[in-house]
Amino acid sequence: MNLLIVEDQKELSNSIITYLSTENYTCEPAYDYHAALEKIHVYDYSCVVLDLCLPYGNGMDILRQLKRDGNPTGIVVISAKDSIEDRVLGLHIGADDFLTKPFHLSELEARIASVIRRRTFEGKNQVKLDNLMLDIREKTLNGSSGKIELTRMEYLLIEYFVSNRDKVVTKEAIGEHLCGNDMDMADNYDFIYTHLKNLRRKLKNAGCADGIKNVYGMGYKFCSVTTKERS
Amino acid sequence: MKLFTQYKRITLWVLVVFFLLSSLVYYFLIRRLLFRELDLSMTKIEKRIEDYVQVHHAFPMADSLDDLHIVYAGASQAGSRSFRLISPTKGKNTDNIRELTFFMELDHRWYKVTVSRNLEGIRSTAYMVVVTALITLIIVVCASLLVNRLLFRKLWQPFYASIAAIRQFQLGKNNLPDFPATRIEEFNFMNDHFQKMAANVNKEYLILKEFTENASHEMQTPLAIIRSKLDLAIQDQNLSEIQSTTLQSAYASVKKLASLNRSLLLIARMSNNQYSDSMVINIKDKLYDKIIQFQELWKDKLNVSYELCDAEINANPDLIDILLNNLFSNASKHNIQQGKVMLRLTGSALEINNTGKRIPLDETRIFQRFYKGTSLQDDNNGLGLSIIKQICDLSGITPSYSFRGNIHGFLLQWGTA
Repeated sequence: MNLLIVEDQKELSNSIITYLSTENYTCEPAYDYHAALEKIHVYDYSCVVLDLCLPYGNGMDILRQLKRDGNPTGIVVISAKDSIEDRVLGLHIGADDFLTKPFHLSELEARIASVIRRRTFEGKNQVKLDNLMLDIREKTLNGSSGKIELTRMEYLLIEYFVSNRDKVVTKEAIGEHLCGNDMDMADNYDFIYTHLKNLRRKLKNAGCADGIKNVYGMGYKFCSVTTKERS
Repeated sequence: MKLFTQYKRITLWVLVVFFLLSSLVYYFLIRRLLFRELDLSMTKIEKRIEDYVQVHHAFPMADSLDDLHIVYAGASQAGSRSFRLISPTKGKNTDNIRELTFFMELDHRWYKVTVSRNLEGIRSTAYMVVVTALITLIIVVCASLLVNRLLFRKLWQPFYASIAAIRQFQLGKNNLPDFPATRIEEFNFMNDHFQKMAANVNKEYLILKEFTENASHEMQTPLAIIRSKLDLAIQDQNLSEIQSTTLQSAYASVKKLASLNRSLLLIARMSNNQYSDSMVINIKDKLYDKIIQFQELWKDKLNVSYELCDAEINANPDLIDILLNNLFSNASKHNIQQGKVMLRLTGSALEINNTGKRIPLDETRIFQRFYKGTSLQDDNNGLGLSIIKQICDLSGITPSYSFRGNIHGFLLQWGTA
């Protein structure tokens, strides 16, 4: 899948591209307004990551242009301006998601994955996890013997891991994903451990291989050996 | 004390002293004048007697008209001519008497002639002077009070108008005070300076605010770059333990910086009035959602109990959301292992109590920015409570803090909804 990264800060753009470029995604950078518009006209992208403050123009105008052209691409806006007006305006014009800097790359990947799934699979999307099936539309995990009951937190966790397969995700990133930016949990991420423990137990009971690995006490990594996305 | 009162007090005393002094001077002046007239008329009588004696070689008949007595008495020798005043002896109800004594020679014998006159007229005149002075004093004082009062009110009217205009002025709201024009130079001078000062203060304030917001914005991008680089760095399979510990603390600091920045931005925006839209919010539903969210997170760690009544508040929904988030975060962050959080919502008050350290917070400084209380851990940017306070101020809520036993409590009260 092709992604266009519209971001004028080359360092940030490079990081995003390095992080996202795996077997799933091919990323292209655009560093200014004109380059972005040109690329959008020439190529089709599954998702555009769009910064609002660009040289020679405003990201909002690119967003408007995409919508005017009826371009089916997904759009994730990344902005340093976390004002509610911008957020509301962006989503109103037609952005699929809005992420405020500084964000975790894992969060960005999760948002992109979610936007692409919503757009491409028209609701039918399931991810196979070993012998289990994760239904992203229904937000359920199904085993051979039926549905495995997950709490909202546990579901959010497994979905996040699936979106960030084979990557180390930090506890901070998971914490922010679970409780949002506004919940200031200080450095206390104990709660993740509780939910993760329950999730692992449920996966194990259902006969699924435990793909969640602990990384140096820094975070977790979900290994993809047995996962495969299918529509 | 009002300027007018002060003015009144001074002028009143000055008036009283002035009138008393002047009536005293007046009294003595009149007395002197009358004495002179009297003495003059008595000197005339003396002359007439002398003339009479020269012509007739005898004293005229002692005239004993009402207020004039002439007495002749033999004297062994001549004395000096003198005027004197005779005060009435005690107990006798008589008037003062003015007396002229002179000596004259008749047939080689000395006679002492005494001409005396009643001073009844003078006494009543003096009395009249005092009464007139007092009445005038009272009339002048009353009149001056009245006139001053009316005059003061009118004269100071531009001053009060200017004060009212200044009172309307709010920093950063871009409504510079509108001073009414006046013909009085002093007030125009004052208004001019007020106007300039307000404009300057407002300008400086806006610059400062803009700076805060811009600085925070500008920091977001470098922070995003640092964080993204860290996210990439930890993907390395071959990180040593030391490297990962280093990365971890870098992560923690970036997070702290990011949250500090977010808080500063929020504060800047609040003072920028970017959250001025308000609506009626069902606070019970909001709170209930938050409790569910909160319980999901803290499942086994904390025990939440609550008692919620229907309540509404007219405020900005985003701010109320941030307010509740901050209150909940605080209640959990500063809690103890297996602690409790108790919530109580009545019609117009919300109480959040939580177990915590047995040390009360400093009530006077608790809502100040960067107050960190007793927490030794530095994971707290010290802005949480000041944000709570600012949201409360904007939403017409009165926050207060209490400490009983080991329970820290925050009480938020708002107008009868």
